Amino acid sequence: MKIERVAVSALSAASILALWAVVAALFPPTLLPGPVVVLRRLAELIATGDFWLHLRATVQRVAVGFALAFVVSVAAGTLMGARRLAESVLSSWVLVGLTIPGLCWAVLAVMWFGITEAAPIFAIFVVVLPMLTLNIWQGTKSLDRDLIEMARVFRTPWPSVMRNVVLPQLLPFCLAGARLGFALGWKVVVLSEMLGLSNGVGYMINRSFSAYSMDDVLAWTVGFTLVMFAFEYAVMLPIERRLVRWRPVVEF
Amino acid sequence: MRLEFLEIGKRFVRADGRPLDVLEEVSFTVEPRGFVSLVGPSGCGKSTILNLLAGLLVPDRGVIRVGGRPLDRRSHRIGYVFQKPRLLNWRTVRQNVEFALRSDGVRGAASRARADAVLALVGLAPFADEYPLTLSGGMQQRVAIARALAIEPDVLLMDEPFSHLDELTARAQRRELLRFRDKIEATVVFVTHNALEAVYLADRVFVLGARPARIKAAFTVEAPRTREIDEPYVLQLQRSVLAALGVE
Repeated sequence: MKIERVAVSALSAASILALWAVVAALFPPTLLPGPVVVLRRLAELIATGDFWLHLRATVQRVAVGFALAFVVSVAAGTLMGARRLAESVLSSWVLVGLTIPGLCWAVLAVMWFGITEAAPIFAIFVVVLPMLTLNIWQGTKSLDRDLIEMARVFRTPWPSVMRNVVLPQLLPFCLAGARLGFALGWKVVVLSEMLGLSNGVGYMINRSFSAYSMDDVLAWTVGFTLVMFAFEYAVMLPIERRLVRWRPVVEF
Repeated sequence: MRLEFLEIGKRFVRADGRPLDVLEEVSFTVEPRGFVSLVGPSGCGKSTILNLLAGLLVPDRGVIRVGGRPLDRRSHRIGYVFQKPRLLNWRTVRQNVEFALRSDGVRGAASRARADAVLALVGLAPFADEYPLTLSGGMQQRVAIARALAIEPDVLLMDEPFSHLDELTARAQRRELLRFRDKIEATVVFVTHNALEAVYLADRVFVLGARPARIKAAFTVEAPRTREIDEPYVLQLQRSVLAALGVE
């Protein structure tokens, strides 16, 4: 079964490459280079170490921004889900936060924090925060009150209640929020870096663009995309699979 | 332990501020290791009585004594079985039972051993490593019973535990309960709206009136615990209970 699914995914990926190659053949190579050229360029970047250098800068910014957002969103989200007052007060903040485009935050961050690490981290924080908060808020509201009452009746100490009753119910919401948060975070960090930082994947994409080097632009984009795929398959999916192993499998 | 529920009155305040007298003056006593059924129509306050016994509510009047002392949630051990199993579906059967032991600080090998022992008692030992959703409703409820028994309770409270099961499963679960009933040290209070179930399982049956409730009638079941649910004596007693309830 698993072999089939891997084969299907591989075939799907291969078909994307094939489509790319076909479309690239219809355009001049300076406008849309084909997959072979781009992948070769990517291999060069990896070999020289440039790729890892800039990737690490970008990843660090996302990690810090995301971590800060996560801590605050857990506090805010659980508060909103548990107390109606907090919900009334904070819900408009969350909605406003969700609607402001990432690009606006990236620009504002650079204006306020200048060309420093604080700018992209702030932008990521502000973009990811409402998304995560929303998910954790909804998750807290949907907590099974009957189970909490059961734990009360059995006089379970609250750390045990958190670990066994609350957290397992919140984790799927955290995961959904994290997935969306990371997706937004990657986009915002690349924008931030384009706006004036001196390293990172976004910076390199911008530099390649200024030099009219489409090969490089696509090489960086593809490389970055592959890293995000790896993150999804090596980190997110295994976590998700572990979280749902108690569910009976129903296919319909 | 002996359970004494003495002249308990309980009043709630409705949303619009008006008082709602749920229990008028309810008194009953259960001998140590006794099994008592509380029967009454829906909404008459049976669950309120259980919640008072569980220490989730405080009586407005009267006193509850367990083992001669006033009910104290910190020192008395109260086991509770709800109408629905209320299991943690993301934990195994054994882990669900062990969850109840957290309040006593029982952990590790000792916790595991106690969980396995009580699971064996209710006949679910082979399923200890399964997740609840792979079990039938009746088995899930038995896990809930095992969980309540794991803490070695002084008092075991059961709130219509079989009412959400289909009749065939419920019959089987009732038989199972009677089977291991003698190994239960606790004093049991079993709430139900089903008069036959009340008579089949218990030593004594107390009939509650409608709100504000009081004990309308009491019956002693003079049959051995190996009784069958369709024995003439059981059916006859059921009729008496139904009559006390005001049902033809």
